[in-house]
Amino acid sequence: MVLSAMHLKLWHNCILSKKMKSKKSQNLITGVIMFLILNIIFFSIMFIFVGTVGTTGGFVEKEYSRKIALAIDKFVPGTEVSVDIRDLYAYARSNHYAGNIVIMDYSANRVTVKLKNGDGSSFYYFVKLNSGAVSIDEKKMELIIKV
Amino acid sequence: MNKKADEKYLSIWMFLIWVIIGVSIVLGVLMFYSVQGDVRQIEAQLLADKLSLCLISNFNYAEILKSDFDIYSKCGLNKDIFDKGGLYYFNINITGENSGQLGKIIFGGNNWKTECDYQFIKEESDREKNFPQCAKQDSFVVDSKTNKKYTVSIVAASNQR
Repeated sequence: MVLSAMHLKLWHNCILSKKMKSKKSQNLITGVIMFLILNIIFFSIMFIFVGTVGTTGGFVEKEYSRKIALAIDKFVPGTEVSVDIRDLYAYARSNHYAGNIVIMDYSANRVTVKLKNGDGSSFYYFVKLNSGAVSIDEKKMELIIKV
Repeated sequence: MNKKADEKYLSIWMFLIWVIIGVSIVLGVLMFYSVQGDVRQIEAQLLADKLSLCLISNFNYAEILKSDFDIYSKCGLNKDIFDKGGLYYFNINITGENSGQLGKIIFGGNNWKTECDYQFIKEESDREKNFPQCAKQDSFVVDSKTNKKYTVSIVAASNQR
């Protein structure tokens, strides 16, 4: 009778320890899974950021203001250049901006690209350009530069 | 929840590491795009090309020597933007066939001669990014009227960011 009581106690202890061990490992697995999920979320955000940062409005404004100014500087007088600005229209539309996308300041030798409300991005060119030398063909979504 | 597991995987240090990684990636990407947007070297080269092209075609040294010679109207450049300062610089040095012969120097914009000379002695990859970016072009020309030979050395710089 005494033996069986001891056995019962030992058996009970054994089950308790097994239960505790299983609970411990379960908690460990939950921790690891949470860690992995948070890692995946973090790196997904980073990948999305790296992938999209170059195509955000600010960078596109900067890129196109430079492109247009360099095109004006590069070509010899008498040349007519057309620059595809389809992307600019798309960005302006997505930003709900309906104002002028490309603003030329002939007296200050400055080209400004605006895709949203704000200052936009400006860049200077060094050649002398006649007033009205840059126009937009809205149908073709092209910028026409007559150097 | 198991405290040890919490401490091992989701501790404050873990989040701190993520913040450091995140900030580093953001800074790296922004730096990459700011370098991509730096067109000073291209602008300097365009200015040197423009000056070289307009001076070399029908080169007439007598015309250049005239006191009323205006490089800006001759090459279709806007003088105001050069006078404004801080954006562009050019230096044109015209010398005759004999090296001892005195030539004519024309310059405009900011005086960045020292900065450009410093840049030219450096390798392209080692060039100082805070200095204006410079381009150099040497051409040998024949005078359209006198058939004399001249060397036209052009240094152009841009510091427009």
